[in-house]
Amino acid sequence: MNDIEKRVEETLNSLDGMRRAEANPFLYTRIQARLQQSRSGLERLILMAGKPAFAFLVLLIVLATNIMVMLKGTAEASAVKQEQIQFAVADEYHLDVPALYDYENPEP
Amino acid sequence: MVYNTALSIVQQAEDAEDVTQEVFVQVYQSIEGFKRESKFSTWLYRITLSKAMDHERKKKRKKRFAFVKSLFGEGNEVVVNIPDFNHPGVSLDNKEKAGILFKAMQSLPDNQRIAFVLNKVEGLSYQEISDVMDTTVSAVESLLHRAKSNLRKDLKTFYDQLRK
Repeated sequence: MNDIEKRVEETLNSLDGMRRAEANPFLYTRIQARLQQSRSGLERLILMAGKPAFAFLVLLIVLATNIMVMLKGTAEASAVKQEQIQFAVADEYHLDVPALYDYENPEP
Repeated sequence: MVYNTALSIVQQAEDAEDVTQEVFVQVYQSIEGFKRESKFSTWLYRITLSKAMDHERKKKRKKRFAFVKSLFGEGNEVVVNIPDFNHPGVSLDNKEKAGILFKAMQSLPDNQRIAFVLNKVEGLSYQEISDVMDTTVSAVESLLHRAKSNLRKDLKTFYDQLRK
């Protein structure tokens, strides 16, 4: 085994016999304080609202609502227009049903 | 156990403390969901490794973003200085080599890194590691074999370059 291989093996075995690292004694106090913090329902909602997934969902809902309103508006507008055209044609060619007492537009 | 495992993954004391805190908060919040299908220590290791690896991924993303934003110093050189990690549990005569090994471990794939840390740092048996990683003993043997093989390759390159 040459020198480099020997060093490689020694490096690989350098963790043998190691002890566990001990945390800062104040870490326990810090964790306790964090666990004792109580979260109100509003705080949880605010935290959730801060997440990107929630913002993306809200954006999707807003876009979907916008598209639905636009489509509905377009459909209604075309229906109204169609009706107007029908009335105009009926009026032009006197196709409307005359009222019984409509003296201004007598039947031809 | 939690702090030691976290420290071996994130390789910075402050980050390890943050991860440890997150682990205990998670345990506190989800203790009722612990079904006792495995040992409590197995469950604790899983949470610790999950939090530690998440932390590492976040750190890598930040580094990539910072690199894109340009961290160049004078003469167009990258000036990111990664400090060497000294695990406090390693004996004095092995500190330098252990520092080199911990640095090499950073480039291992996640699963290999986890298996290596659990075996070498925490001293778990192959059976215990397979319980933590939810896999078979032979899979753990394979992961450790590949981890050591990758580490040998990286260390050989490192020492070759040092020689030149």
